[in-house]
Amino acid sequence: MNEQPSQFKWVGTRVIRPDGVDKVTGRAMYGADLTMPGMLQGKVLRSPHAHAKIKSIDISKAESLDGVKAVITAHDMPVADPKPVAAGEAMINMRDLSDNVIARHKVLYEGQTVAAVAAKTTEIAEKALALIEVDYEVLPHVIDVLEAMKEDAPLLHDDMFTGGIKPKPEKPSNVANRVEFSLGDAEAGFADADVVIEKNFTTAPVHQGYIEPHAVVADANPDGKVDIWCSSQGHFMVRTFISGLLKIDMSKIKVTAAEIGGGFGGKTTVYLEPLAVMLSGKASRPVRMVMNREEVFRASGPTSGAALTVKMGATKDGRIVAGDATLYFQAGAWPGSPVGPAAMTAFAPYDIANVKVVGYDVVSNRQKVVAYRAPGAPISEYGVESIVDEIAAKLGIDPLEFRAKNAAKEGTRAAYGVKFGAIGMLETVEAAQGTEHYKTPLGPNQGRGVASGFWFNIGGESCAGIRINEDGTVSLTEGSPDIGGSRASMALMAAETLGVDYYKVKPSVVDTDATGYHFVTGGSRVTFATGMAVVNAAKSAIDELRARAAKVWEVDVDGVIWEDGHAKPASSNVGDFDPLSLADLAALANKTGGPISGHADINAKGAGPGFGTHICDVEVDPETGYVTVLRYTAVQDVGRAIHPSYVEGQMQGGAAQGIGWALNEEYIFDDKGRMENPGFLDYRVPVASDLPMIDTIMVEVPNPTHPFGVRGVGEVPIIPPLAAVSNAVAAATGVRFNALPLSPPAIVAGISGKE
Amino acid sequence: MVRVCLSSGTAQQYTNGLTEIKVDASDVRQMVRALEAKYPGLGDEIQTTMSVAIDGTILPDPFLEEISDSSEIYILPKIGGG
Repeated sequence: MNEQPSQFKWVGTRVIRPDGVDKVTGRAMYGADLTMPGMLQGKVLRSPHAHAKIKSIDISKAESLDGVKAVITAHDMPVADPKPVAAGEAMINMRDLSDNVIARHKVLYEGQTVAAVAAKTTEIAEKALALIEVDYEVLPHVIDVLEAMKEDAPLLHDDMFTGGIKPKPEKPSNVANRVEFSLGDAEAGFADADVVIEKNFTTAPVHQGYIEPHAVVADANPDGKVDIWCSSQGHFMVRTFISGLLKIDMSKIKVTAAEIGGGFGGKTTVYLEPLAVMLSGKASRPVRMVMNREEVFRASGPTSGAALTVKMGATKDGRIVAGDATLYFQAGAWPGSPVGPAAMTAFAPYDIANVKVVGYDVVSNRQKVVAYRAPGAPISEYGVESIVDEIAAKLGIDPLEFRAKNAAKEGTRAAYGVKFGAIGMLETVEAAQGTEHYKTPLGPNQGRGVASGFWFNIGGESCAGIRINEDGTVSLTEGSPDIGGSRASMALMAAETLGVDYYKVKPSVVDTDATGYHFVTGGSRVTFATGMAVVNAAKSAIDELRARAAKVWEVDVDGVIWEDGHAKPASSNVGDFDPLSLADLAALANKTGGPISGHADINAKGAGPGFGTHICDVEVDPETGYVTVLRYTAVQDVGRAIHPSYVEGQMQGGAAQGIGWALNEEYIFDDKGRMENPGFLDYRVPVASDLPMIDTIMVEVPNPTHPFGVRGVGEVPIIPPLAAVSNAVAAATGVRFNALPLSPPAIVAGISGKE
Repeated sequence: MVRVCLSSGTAQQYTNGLTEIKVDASDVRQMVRALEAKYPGLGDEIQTTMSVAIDGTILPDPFLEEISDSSEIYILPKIGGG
């Protein structure tokens, strides 16, 4: 972004983040850092089988071990109502959530919780786990999505009938749901096309890879009150789930969001929290539970592995006239894959008159899918962006020019029906075309790929409180756990609105007793929605400050304006008064009516859709198949960058994760359905030394709904890399690879096949 | 009469494939009631699992929002994020 003179004093500046010093000096308190007097350590017994009936569990030996204070199984947990509740990614069924927290009758994946222990030390708890006797009846399992759809596949739920079709099927199956979206007439569109390409693709399940494991401390008091500290993307979500699962009044549950070391969607559900509360209640002592890395991989949710078929048609002059896709998504052990949003986003970057997308949500014996940045979109858009690249090549049109020619614009109707408002898809393509990167020549065995991406972004419930302190400083409270620097963005918007120094505003993410309900930190919503609440709260405080100035001056409040952090007379007719600063009015607060504050509780609407376009250069070693990412540029419409450094950080982080998804990451299961690579040595995420500096270009097409034009930025950047990398590898090798990850053996095999 | 658009998948399930339905309503609450009366189950489905897009703005939990004959209304799945 060109750093041009801004209309704002604080918004768009690169201030120091309020939590920065705590984090670089090790003072920040993460989920596992809290210690309480008498605190016990909790550990979990997990299923060694991918699919099995639990015939019996004997905990008597574990209970009698010295130092053990509580042992729980599903029998200690109320039976949950099978009612849908909004989660990070989709509606989830409370009974499914309960079974995922602790298995009741069957285990449906390796790593599922079967029992838990609280003891004086971790070592004693682990010894106790070994004393729990579980009698399993092992059942056949299925993991691959297409295998799970076969008629003779092992059935996970004998009461599950495919939804979304009529009449209701007579036989249960692993296909939980079917979705379909269409626009125009895809068949007629293909008939008009001069070029039609159809391909099958597969992607592997990948984990969000947050560095901080799941961690919680719970203290259940004998009077029924529960305090919870945890690493989560939504402490209100934790309260909702604990209340629903354990039948505790919400008013008795206080959840505090610890500092969080990454989530990326993976911390929009609960795993350990209900167990820690139950153990604490049984032991009458606080209980801490922390997953190790292996447990994070085996027992928390990666995204879907998928199979997809994509077909697109275009005319000779470079217009895409039809698109068709069929998507098959693993949901994990219970329904709820992101196949719906995948279907809606698949063709969204383009203005295509005729589109049809069908999606299938399929259960199989692996961990329940949990949200991962732009859930579903990286997978479906990978297939579409690969075909777009091939069509452009076949027509002899530059791939960015082809994208520009077909880009969605304001007024374009997306395949899911809705017409776009002000969007910046075309602007991102044009910015990419203008980069020096795109014009730089490549060497032998090198290739360049491009791809675009779309994500909706969301709004939702947020609250904010502004309190003017006696010395004129500002305390800002809100309840969105800060993952990507949002406290700095909130303080910037408050400072800008109030007209005060950013460093006089102290933002805090407060507990569930101290503010109103917030939806999770997810969906790229916090800077948009909670930011809107902060601006509204600041405006409410300004109204009160103007009222106080009116009292001091003995004039009507309409005669007072707020400008550059001061109350001023609206005109000379009001009177000749010296401006009163925020600090002046704070000092007079007790004489003019008491403490001054502003509040806002909103359900934010009008999140601006986000688009991005990425350029990737790779070099492929033809002998080993090893891919080196040489250069990478991410372009994105960010609406308005409140804190440019953190927007750039989101773009770089998303690109890095997408590159990992494309090149290395995958869950590998053995023939018994057990994960073979549950550690960072064998599950290979890119580290700093694997990647070049990811260059960023922020395009600003302001979202007209937000006071500062904010669009969500956190999810779009993980979408383009899958196809950008794949298209670059195709350009370098002359071979199209339609399965991710692009591991060295797969590339060697592909190159050998060509020869 | 307000024109309500459904995805082809939802239409197959509830309206015998009809993707555009006209109902008499001046807000979302009335629209949902009218849809439920015309196609039993559809209103409940909208309330529990769907969003409503009004003139391009997707609303996850609409209720009292005013709509008119000129409104463009789409029924969509709820959208979350990661």
